[in-house]
Amino acid sequence: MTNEHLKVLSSKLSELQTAQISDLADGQLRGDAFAQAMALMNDNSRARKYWHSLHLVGDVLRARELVSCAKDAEFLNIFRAKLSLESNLADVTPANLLTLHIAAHSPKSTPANESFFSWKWAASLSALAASVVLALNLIGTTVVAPTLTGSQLAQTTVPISVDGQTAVMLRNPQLDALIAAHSQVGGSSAFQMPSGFLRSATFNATAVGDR
Amino acid sequence: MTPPPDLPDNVHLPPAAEPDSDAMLVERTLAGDQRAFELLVIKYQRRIQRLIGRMVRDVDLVEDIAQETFIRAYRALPKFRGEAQFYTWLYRIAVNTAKKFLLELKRDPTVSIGAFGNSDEENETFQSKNEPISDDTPETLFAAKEIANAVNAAMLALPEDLRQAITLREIDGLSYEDIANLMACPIGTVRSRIFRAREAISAKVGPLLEKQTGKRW
Repeated sequence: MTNEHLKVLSSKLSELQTAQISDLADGQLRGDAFAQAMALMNDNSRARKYWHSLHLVGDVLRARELVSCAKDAEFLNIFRAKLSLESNLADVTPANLLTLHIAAHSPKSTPANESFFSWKWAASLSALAASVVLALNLIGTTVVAPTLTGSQLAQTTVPISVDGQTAVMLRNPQLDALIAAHSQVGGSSAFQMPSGFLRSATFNATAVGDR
Repeated sequence: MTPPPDLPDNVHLPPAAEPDSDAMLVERTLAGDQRAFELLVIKYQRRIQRLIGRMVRDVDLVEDIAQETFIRAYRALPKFRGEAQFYTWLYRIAVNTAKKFLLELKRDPTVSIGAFGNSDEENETFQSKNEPISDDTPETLFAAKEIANAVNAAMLALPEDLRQAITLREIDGLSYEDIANLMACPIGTVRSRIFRAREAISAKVGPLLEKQTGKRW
């Protein structure tokens, strides 16, 4: 008999041990008997294997589809690795438990890249910024816009010469006022349409009026 | 193999209380023995994975959710008051964990709709058209079938009294006391019969399991 065979035989569970595991599975042990069985389960991988086989047989008898067990050991080993990172429950005092409870129920810290966080805040901030710029622009226009006199408002036509013929260019006093205001807030008008475009638009309007 | 001698009645049991091995293992875990919780994982992992497999159609996710379920259960164990059976409590944790995973998945545009199963809670033994998914290969399916056949054959080969005792215990879920009343024998005899039945079945199934799960336990 080889050493390997001897090793296997010596690690086999005795009948007393398998009986202990069977009793443990059915909750039949108390006190020292329970402690002994637990010590056996902790020290002996064959005992855990037997425990697995007992429950597998029970599962198969109750529901045949629960027979699949190829990954059971792998599952347990992964779980064991995760469990080793957990704190021992014997160290969890009532005060610790309260802390854990509060931590578990408090809102979790939100990752910076979580979608609802960045988009909501970015959208509201940019809307606020746009409102501020518009408000400043309006305030600047109102404050700086010159007060037009009655004679200036009355001046609605300007004589011009087109192809040697004299014509009258119609002027809109409100548009004039707007252009005058823009010329004085040139700094902030850089955010909007260039004032040159507005002047071109004025000229076209005049050309239409000429017909 | 010589069967263990019949023990006197109630040698290990308090007379009134129905023994609950899960509760004892929970108590042991709370006292600091993490290995006790591993025994609960070994016992329930197949049922929990099957339950989750009905809700999620992705094999890898099923395993992840099952792992998360057991970790959550471990963390919450100090709050387990034993008012319900441990498995009932674990079942709720599994369903809630699976639902949480599904909600997170639905927010993830990279996940296909095929990953979602029937999110309704179902009993794991309920036969529905939405069968749980599995990553079993033909080899593992064959091995599983072999195990099931071996269990059935071993059951049929048992003497009548052993077969009756193990059936009443495993399938009908009766306590030793109830089985003793039904079989008109002492509880010690029931205990011995159940143990011998298990030994006989394990003798047939053990070599097959060795091939399938011959890893570290």
